[in-house]
Amino acid sequence: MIDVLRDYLLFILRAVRLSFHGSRIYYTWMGLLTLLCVVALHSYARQIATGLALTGMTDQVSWGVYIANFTFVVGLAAAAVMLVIPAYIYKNEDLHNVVILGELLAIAAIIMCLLFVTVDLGRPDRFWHLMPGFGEFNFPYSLLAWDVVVLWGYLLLNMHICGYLLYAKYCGLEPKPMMYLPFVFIAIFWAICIHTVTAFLYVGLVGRPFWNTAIVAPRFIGSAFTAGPALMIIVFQVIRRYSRFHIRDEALQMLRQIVTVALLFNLFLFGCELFKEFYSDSVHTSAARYLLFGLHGHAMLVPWIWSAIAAEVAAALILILGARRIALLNIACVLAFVGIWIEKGLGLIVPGFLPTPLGEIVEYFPTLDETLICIGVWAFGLLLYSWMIHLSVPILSGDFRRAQEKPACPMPE
Amino acid sequence: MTFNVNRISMLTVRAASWYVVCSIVLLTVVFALAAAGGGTDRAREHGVRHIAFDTTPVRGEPRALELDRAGFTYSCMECHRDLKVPADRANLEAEHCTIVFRHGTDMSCQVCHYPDNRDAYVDRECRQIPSTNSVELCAKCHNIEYRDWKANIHGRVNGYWDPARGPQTRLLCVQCHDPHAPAFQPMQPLPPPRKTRTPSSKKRPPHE
Amino acid sequence: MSNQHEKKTRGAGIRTLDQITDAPLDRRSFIKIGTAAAAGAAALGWALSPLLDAEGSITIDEFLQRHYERLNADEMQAILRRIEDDISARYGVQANLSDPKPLPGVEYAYALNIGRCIGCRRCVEACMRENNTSRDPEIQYIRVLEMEKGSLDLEKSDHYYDPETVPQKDTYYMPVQCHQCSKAPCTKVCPVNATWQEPDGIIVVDYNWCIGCRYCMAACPYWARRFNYTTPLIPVGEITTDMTYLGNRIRPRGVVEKCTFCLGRVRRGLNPACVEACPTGSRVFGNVLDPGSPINYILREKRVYILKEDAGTIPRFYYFFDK
Repeated sequence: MIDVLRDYLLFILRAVRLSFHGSRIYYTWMGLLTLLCVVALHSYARQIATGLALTGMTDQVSWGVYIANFTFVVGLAAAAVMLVIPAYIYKNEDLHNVVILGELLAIAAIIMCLLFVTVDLGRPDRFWHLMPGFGEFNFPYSLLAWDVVVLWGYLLLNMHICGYLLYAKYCGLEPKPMMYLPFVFIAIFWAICIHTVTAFLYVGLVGRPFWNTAIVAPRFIGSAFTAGPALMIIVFQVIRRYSRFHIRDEALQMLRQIVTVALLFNLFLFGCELFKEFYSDSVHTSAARYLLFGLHGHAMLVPWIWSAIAAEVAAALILILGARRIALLNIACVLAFVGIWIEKGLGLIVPGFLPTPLGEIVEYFPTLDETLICIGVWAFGLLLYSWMIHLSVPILSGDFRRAQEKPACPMPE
Repeated sequence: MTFNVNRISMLTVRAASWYVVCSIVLLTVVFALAAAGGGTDRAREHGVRHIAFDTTPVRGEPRALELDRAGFTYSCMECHRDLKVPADRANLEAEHCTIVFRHGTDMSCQVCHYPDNRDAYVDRECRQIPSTNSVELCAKCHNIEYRDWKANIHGRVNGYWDPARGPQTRLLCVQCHDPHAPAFQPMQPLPPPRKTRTPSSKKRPPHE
Repeated sequence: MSNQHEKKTRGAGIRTLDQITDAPLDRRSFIKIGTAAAAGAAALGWALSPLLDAEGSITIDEFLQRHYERLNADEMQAILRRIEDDISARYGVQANLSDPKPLPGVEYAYALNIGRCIGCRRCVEACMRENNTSRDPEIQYIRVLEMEKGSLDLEKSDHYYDPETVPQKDTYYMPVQCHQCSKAPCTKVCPVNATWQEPDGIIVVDYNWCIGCRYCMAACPYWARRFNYTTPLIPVGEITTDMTYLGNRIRPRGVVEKCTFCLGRVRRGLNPACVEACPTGSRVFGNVLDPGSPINYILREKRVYILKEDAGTIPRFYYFFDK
């Protein structure tokens, strides 16, 4: 037992030391991300000192870029399951070796989500009020309580799966299927849950007609399964170039098919929503009007949403007309990712608030500190993901393993 | 896929170094500008206007039926004991010209004022209503408002919502309504709401 | 099985991965680590330096304070004294804090005569004064809407009207504040149960329990809730010193607040401040369980309607007109 613990601690120590050694590119990349994180931390300290008045949020638009980014990144986390389904259910061998990379992305994304929610809180010092057992947890009535449960559950699931598989590989042992396969299948189901629960946060609010429609949840799933695999296509090429990890083109093509279908589905649902709003044309369509055409002289979101639509349509066309060439595929992925980030981020949050339930429009624009904090959380997510890749690739390729002359470390049951 | 690792790495490193340096310089400039332009202007304190919570009725206390002239106070009958009821009952001749009369149509002074006793009002049966009971006069025609007033829902009632716990103060009609021009007078409104201003949003254009 | 050679670093010599992770700590690497750690600590110190300017700090007691409904009487008294001390330190006034309980057999309801409201906004400022709301940034619980005659369309309303006199021609005025709904969406969505409906109908917020997530603000169909984006600024001479824990005490930053029907006043039988201030008598308040109350008279006799009734929130706030 002591041996097991000592081996694990030694693994941690060696991993820590490995974290700080890499190529010049690694140092530059991690250094830049760390710099962005430190700058963001400074802005966040200012926000704690003076309050959320440092942001552009008002009583009229009480959620802004923090929650917008949170909503988008939950989708990325859920989309990691897109690799798991073909790999394990359809037994697609190409994807088997990249599943862990996808699940590590899920871990980084969930931590980004938790950070986005934390920076949005007015009283982060009261975080323990949310802990079941210690605080008061309004489960099952509050969708935010559901969100806390499913996000932490998803994080723990993926941390277990990746941690177990990587440590098993480090020890040079064959992983026991019972220790990870059931969790993998739970994770597939759980991924849909986290994103549906996040969607239901908005859907259930009767006072916000822009959100109070059933189509929001399917749109969330569609856009998540477009943006997530699109990101993974780009990220896997980066990993492929800057490390020794082998990712075959067939894996990228499988992801391409997922992105194509999901993007077309997303555009179809968006079309459904446009029809419903503008054909029935009642007073309840004011928010959609504000978003797409501007209302009563306020039109700040109009260029954003039209750029997003153009980007998504362009991406769809590229993907349909055959994006076998990697360069074209990358362009399509970037366009789809950015388009969905706009459409699902500010393009979802702000029109939910404007016009207000009392009919006024007070436009929202993020401040510098708010933007720096958002960039910092993204940088932290990338930092975390890069660090995990930096450790995982040597483990998976067999370079970073436990010394063989010692007796084999027994795996905990 | 093979490529020249050394050359690409060198270029990448050089590009990345420039990138880092430029980022730091740019961020420094940005922060300096933000610090220069920012700062909280909390000095402006918005006081609540006294009139908002002043419970004095708009027309103050009811006045007695009297006339103040040249330093003396006259009761109505001091003049009207001798003055006859004018033939043109609608027009006021020498006195009371400052009264602006905008109370319904086809009304004259004797609809409310008892002709032979100007210290009293007149009811539907042409009997006198003492001047201390002005509410009964208004109730003669405005019975809906009178019924509402008796139920405490017409006009403000100050004090306790629960009469068992404390007194309630109800106003008289004339404390809000000028009997000769009873329409409730327009007032100047208190200012509109101000936006939730944040320190860093001072440069944003004001709403409309 | 031999270790594979791996080009991991340039310039510093080629080392295998095992040599990196298992290398002994020599003086050179110690200096490198030390310098890096010092630089990191300095950067962290710079990043966190704004916290030194933070307004106010949190004591252990405040941090560990439990939910309102779990406190016993002694704990509540200690908390009330602590809040009085905080207010005294920050605003320089001696507050008198209490925690009045709901009256038995009482459920409040509110009626507003939109036929008579002239939009003078005296209710708005009387409320600010009574409830110690922040003046900068300005928080007002009541929002008066100037509506177009013939339309209930809230988007056509003007919140910022400022004419010479009111009422203006062809308009009517509709003040909106928290309706203390019986089926409130705000209490349903709070993740920490920081807001709930009391037995007398008032929906309250435990300002020491709220985490400031603002989900309740998103949920309210009447835009009734406000958030303290920063520490409230109130002129000392205008502070109402009789405060209640769930009502008009000066709130800390980062928490949500709203109209509480002047909880401290009404639980002693007094009118809310807005009712006291209205010059036209358009506001009526009372106990809906008492058949003889003015509020029941209105519900029986007048043309009463509910704003956004289709939202299904069953408010306690009724609009009516006379004839």
